[in-house]
Amino acid sequence: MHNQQLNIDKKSYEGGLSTLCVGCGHDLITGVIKNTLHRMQISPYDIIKMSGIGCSSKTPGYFLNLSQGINSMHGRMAPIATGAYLARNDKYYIGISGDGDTASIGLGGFCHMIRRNPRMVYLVANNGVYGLTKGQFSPTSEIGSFTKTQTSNEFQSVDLCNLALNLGCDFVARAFVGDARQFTHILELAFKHNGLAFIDVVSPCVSFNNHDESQMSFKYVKEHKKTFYEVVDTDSNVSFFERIDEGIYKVKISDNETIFLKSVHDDKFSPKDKKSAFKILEIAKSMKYIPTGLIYLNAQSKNLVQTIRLKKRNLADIDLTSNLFNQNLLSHITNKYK
Amino acid sequence: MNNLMTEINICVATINGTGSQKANIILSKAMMRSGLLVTPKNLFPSNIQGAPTWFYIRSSSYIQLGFKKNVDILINLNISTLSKDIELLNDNGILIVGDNVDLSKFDINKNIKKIKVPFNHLVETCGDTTKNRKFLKNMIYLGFLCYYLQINKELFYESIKNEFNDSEILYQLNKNAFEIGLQWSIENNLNKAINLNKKSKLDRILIDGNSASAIGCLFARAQFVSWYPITPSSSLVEEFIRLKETLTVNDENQDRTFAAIQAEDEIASVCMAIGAGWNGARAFTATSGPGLSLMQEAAGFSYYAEIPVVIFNVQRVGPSTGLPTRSAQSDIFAAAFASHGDTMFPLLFPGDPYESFEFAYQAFNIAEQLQTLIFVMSDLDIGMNMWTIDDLKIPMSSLNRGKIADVNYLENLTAHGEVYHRYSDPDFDGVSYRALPATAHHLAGYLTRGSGHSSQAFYTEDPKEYSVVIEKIKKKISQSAEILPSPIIDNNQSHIGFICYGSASMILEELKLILNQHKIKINYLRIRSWPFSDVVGDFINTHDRVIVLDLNLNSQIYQMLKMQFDFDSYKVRSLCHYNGEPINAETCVKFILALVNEKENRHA
Repeated sequence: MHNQQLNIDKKSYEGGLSTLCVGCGHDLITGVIKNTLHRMQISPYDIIKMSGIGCSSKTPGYFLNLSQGINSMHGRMAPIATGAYLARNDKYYIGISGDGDTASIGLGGFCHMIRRNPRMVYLVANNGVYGLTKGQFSPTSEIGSFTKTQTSNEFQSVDLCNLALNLGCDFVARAFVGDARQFTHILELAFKHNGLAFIDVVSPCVSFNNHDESQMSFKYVKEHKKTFYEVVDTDSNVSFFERIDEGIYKVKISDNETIFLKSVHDDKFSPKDKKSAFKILEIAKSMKYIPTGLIYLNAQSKNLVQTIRLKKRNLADIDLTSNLFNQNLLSHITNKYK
Repeated sequence: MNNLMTEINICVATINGTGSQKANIILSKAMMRSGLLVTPKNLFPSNIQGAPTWFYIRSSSYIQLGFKKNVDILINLNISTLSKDIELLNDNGILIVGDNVDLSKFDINKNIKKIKVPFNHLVETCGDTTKNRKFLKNMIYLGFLCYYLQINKELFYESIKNEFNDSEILYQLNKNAFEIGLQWSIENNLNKAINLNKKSKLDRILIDGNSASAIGCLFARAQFVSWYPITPSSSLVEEFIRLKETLTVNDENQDRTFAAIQAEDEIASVCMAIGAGWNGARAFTATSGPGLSLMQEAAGFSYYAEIPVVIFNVQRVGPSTGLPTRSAQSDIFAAAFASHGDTMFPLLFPGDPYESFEFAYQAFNIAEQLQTLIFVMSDLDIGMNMWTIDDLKIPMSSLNRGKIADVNYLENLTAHGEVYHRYSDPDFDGVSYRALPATAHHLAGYLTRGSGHSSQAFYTEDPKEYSVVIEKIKKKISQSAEILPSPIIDNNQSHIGFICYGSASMILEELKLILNQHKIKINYLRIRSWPFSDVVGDFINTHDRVIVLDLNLNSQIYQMLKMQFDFDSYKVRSLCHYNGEPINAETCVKFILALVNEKENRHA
């Protein structure tokens, strides 16, 4: 996984024209993805796009036309992507799902994907509402929030970051489409992560969940968003994870790259400490604000390919040309049945 | 019982979890090695320990026999089923029970020979066997059968060695128990030994279809399997993984070249296989009824997005949980038309474990040639029971990955000023050229989708663009019969035809033999795939009467034949067997005789 081509122009990251509503948060996600990948100069031929079904899952059609991908079934991005990743594990994978797609119909797949930890960036474009079916609550809608038609949500919400942490995800972050700078930094870091990088992207729905009583409107999120750790710089040749100054952490994320994280909120917390991460989410919930930025990072993640000791390449290239599979082998195998 | 018999049927009635299955496999193998054709059938409960189980071994020196409930020898180690089991014994049969069983309580035909074996006492003489005591009982009755069937004891030693390959201690212990059983039989001068006229040892193996399928997958170079455990399909995947592990992962430091993932459910297992198939791997999953139900939506996705993947559906009795450890062919509709929307999936019907091997190998070629999901429709009888078959030979056909739009292909298009459309039909056969993900060419990019798409793979709701693609897919599947396994016909110059498929094939030789005794000749056709070849339609057309045997209640293959060939229901009759037991030849004989008589009455 290295940049074979340098100076890939911005045009190479373009996709089809978006058919989402004017002002949709998801189009901002598309923009950030294109810019980040261009900035990182990853070849579109090395990227595989994945999605499920819903407004969010339409977005892979709007970036990187040169890449291939699957706009799969409702709630099935996780297993489809896991299978694809195992078959060809030397590529970059980016998956975009929605809150209904991941937290409702695809919750089981999401949980098990985190357990397995394939190397992939998993974005949830989270707007707390079913857009394509016109405004029903999703499981991430806050209890007590209202739809456009004044129906109140009576049920507890699913906090996907909390769930991901609980299941052992080594990269948990939350971004907001209204803060492209922060989102870009998180996304770039996510592509460098050696496992599943989960980013809950708050992405308001302008058609059904951007009204004054919504807790997922542009206005509400802007007013209630708090950042925890920001990626402030990258450097190389620094040893693994250390606190170098008040609120500044150095994290070695690969053999040749180290990042600096700045704790914006409270120096008592540490980004590699899971207890801190849970605490952050708990406090935020009780105070009704939205924690953003990097929430938890274990830079020593062991991905699925490493766990099952798979060769780091395209599986199909391997034994199709092997001459191992001859009559001698077959007779050797059937000997047991004589 | 004659001293020179042509067939023998043995039933071992026991309690599951007591290790009798291993013993019965040893017995079956020793019988096969002695030159007999053996048909073992394990009627086991959906339970791990303590429930009744019956293992039948039917054997002949001439032909492959099917299942039969009436037995010549009954070995009963389960008192709770004894009174019912006795009813299965033929007159002049042999009943073997422990010496602690009071047989006076049972109503037993006086011609039945009763042998009471001091199992517990004999086991005690085997040495230190506290842990293995209950298992060794089984070796004692093997000793008796060795004596009674006049089989060379060396063949038993070899079979015991084969089963306890990894442990010399267990081998010696079991061999010793076997010897004690044999010795006891000789000393008690049972003097009722029979001779089965064994033929010379041939190049045969005794293997279950799931293992044979796993070997087929190995030789097809399958690199990816995702699965969710379900009876009776689990052993297929477990055997594949075992083979891959032992053959290709020799060294601790060597990385695997295949991926096997136990999924969270069947929705995930089929989705993972689809993801891997899409990305160019040869991918499969194995399941049974309830799993097939969960896979429906994903099957439709694979169909419409044209992604190759193989599903082994080892059928069991439904509906719902049904009878998980009994066999049926009742998922034909659910597989052929899996998913909502207009779909159809090629089905392969292996007729024995040899074909389980062959069809597994071919299925990956067919899936990639047609770029579709394909079902191999096995069942519990083929999948989990052991069958005597010829030793496996390497398949003649070479690997075929179908039409791939690689960089050369795309360069060639560019040179001719043409464009690449993922779902176009350049060869007019309904099969498009597949650009694999990560093909480094500017024409190769496209987004695979299950939503409405044009031949360029763009989202569409346009009636014409939608129709062109869906009609193209239907064309390639409808016309696929020529690359699917063709039907096997046994022509005996009759005007009556008999059609069956899958595990029902096992009864054909016996059926033919019995009908010959009734002076009735019929022609046989064994279906091996769907969509049906025109040969099947011609067979139906050229016979006055046709019987179609289905191992399900709803006449599923009969109905599919009717759909494709539109015949007269008076002429073509449906015979259904669906109680969970393997089909037996006698059932078919009765039906055929009734039909023949009906015809004669009608003419009279």
